[in-house]
Amino acid sequence: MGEPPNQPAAVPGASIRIDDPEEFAARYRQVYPQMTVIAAAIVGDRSVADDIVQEAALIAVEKRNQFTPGASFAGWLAAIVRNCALNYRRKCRRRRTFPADPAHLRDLHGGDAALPEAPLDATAVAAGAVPHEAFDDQVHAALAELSDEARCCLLLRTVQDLTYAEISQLLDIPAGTAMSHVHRARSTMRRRLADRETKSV
Amino acid sequence: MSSSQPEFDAQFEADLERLRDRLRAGAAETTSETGETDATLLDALAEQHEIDQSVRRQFEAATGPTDAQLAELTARFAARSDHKSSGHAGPASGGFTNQPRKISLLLAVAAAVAVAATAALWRGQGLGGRNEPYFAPTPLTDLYKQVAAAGFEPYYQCEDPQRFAEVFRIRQGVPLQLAAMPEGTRMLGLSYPGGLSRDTTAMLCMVDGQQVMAVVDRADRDDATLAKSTDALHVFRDQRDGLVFYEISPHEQPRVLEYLQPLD
Repeated sequence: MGEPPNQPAAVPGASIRIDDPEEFAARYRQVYPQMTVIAAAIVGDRSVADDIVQEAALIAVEKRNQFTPGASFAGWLAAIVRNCALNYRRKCRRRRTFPADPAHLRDLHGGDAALPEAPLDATAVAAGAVPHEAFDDQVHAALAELSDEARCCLLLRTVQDLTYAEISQLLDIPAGTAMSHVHRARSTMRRRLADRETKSV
Repeated sequence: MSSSQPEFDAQFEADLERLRDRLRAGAAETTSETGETDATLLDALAEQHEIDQSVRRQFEAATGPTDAQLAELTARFAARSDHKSSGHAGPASGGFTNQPRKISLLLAVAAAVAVAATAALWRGQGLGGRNEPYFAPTPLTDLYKQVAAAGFEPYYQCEDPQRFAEVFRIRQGVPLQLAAMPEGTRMLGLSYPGGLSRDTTAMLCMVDGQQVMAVVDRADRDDATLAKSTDALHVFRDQRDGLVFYEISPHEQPRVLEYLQPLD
């Protein structure tokens, strides 16, 4: 089942010096996609992930003297990204804004029947019978019910195709934990989506 | 499904990994080619495949930072280098200019003016609306620095849980208790340095050898403009039970707030 969980990882950005701007920028470029996935996983919104990662990178520049030589650059930056994403999420909650997501709009309208309950059927989606947007909304809602760590693991595995050892190094968790997060998250999501399908029929 | 759930999950993950490998290798996107005959398993694989596709659609990552992002990063690097190299008037290594530093200084001045204006506005409202003694709200990072400069000594070394709860009940209206803290985290005591209001209560702690301050006040005394993180200090916020909690800390994550809980 994939790679052994405790295999040493070779995450891009490991064992570098970050005093040199060009080296820093090169490593930043290399790990950028993974960082945006982590940010998006925490705030649940891909569109703001780039700004969060950039903010984290600027903080990393400021704090580069705190980087331990020989440590993983990706892991170090990922910790800052997580922190920035959590701060962003806190700020959003404080603002009490409401996302214009159909599922949330339904809540705002007190379950207004005029807003249709999107049906979920994976095979129907595959056959093109159900618009992707409706299915995506439900997948998004199911993702939101996972823990931050589980969501990060799942997205890094699914979107970035990282090995469990790589996820382990990025998130500073054991590889076995990353693997069980992914497995459980998949199982939970299928179950949640199936429940919704049953309810919407 | 004929097998148990754990067996099913294990088989599912094994098949899913095989499917991923096949897709990565450019094989046809069909689950029937996995060689499995269990219909439930095939359905689950098909469903998982659709879910994965949806996740990729929604969270597809950019391939890399934009040129503008890299330029901003490089400029920040140069600004920091300028700070370090005192007396060096020319550009830093790599042909950087001093422009970002000037912008940073302008931003710092603008921020200071904004804080001063906010404080002035707050004072005006306080004097005009409520006949209370003069009180100047203090940005929480400044508050931390003041307390640290004074030796980070608590006003009250509270070791009695009942007295601890009573302090918060009197000052904030909600009795709080301190749950058992992990090794490396220690509560020094309570202080009353102001901050959000004259009734703000501060709890001073040592976390992994570093000074961490938690401040608590009623939620209606909250003011986000006072809670800005700085390069060296993070400000974390929580709100529950009608109270607002802040943690001012050099650590990257909040380490103290979760242990402040309403008294059972």
